[in-house]
Amino acid sequence: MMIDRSRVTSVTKNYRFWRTTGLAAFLGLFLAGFSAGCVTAEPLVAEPGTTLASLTVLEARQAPPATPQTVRWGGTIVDVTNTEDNKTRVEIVSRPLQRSGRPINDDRTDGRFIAEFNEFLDPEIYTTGRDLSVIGTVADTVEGRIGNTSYRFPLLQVTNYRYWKPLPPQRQHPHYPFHDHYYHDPFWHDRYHHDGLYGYGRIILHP
Amino acid sequence: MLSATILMFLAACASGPIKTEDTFTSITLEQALAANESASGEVLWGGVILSTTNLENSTLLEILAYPLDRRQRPMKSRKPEGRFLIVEEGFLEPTDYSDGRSITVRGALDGATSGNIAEASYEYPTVKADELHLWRPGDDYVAPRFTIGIGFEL
Repeated sequence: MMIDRSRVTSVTKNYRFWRTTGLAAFLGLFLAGFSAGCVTAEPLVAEPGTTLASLTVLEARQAPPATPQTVRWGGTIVDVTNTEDNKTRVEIVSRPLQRSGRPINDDRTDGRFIAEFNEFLDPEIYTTGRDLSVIGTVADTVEGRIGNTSYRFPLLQVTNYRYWKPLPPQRQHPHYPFHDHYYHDPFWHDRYHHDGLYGYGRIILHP
Repeated sequence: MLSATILMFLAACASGPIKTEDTFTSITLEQALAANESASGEVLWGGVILSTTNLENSTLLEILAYPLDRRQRPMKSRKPEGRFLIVEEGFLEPTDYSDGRSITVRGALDGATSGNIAEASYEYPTVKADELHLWRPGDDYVAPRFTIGIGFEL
């Protein structure tokens, strides 16, 4: 069979073109993937025109507010109870909140409160240990118990809420047992390992 | 000026988060277990929380004790020394003071409390907490590891 030499392209001429295009494509996908990972949930903010009161969980525990206050509180779910009138009471360990409303989990707490929802929340979906932030009105407190401690829980009637996805854990760099590569570029032509797309002396035919 | 700087460095080198007098030496859990009801004095102990119980006006923590390192952290890779109880006035959030977390306490040893570990009866030395430090997972004790590697150059 005769090879039409005009159609044979040497490796060296196209190698650079494909390498650059490939690298650009790889970087593009990498950046897209990276920024997708950086996208965070929508913050929980008050309705425009509403101002949130600065009443803290601690203050509300000590004495129920004289007038109903609209606040934004949040923290970790410890219990979800569905009541007969199609409401749900969620017991929450309060935490300091970031600007977005997301709870900060670092052992600081102002105590527990109960958020009451006018709908059914499934305890299989809203689970113990997950973070939940709520906006609503606090008007009174509910007596209850934590273990054998009698506890006064502020009661918040929820108007808006955000159920936060857990943040991905900080990842350690995986240690490959035989190579110490921390960066793998599939288009890097490695003369010693021949694992790139281009080996020595390959000929590429173009239509 | 120089001596002040040196003093600052020395102070910074001193141990962990719980401040103690320079002359302070804690009685060990072993001594307390031997002395039982008559044990008393100020102690600095630490370990891992086994359970948290919220009582009417106080919180009880059951601790598996470990020796403390220079930063007052319980060394979980060593052999446990025994168990003791911490009594803290008021409410401690069990979600934070949870099983498995490391804690260090300075307080007054106040006799022993009878309890059970499975079917065995146990006299828990009881510490009335003055100062508690709950260790963050990121700041916790890590056992020293030794590795040997072989390298070659091309």
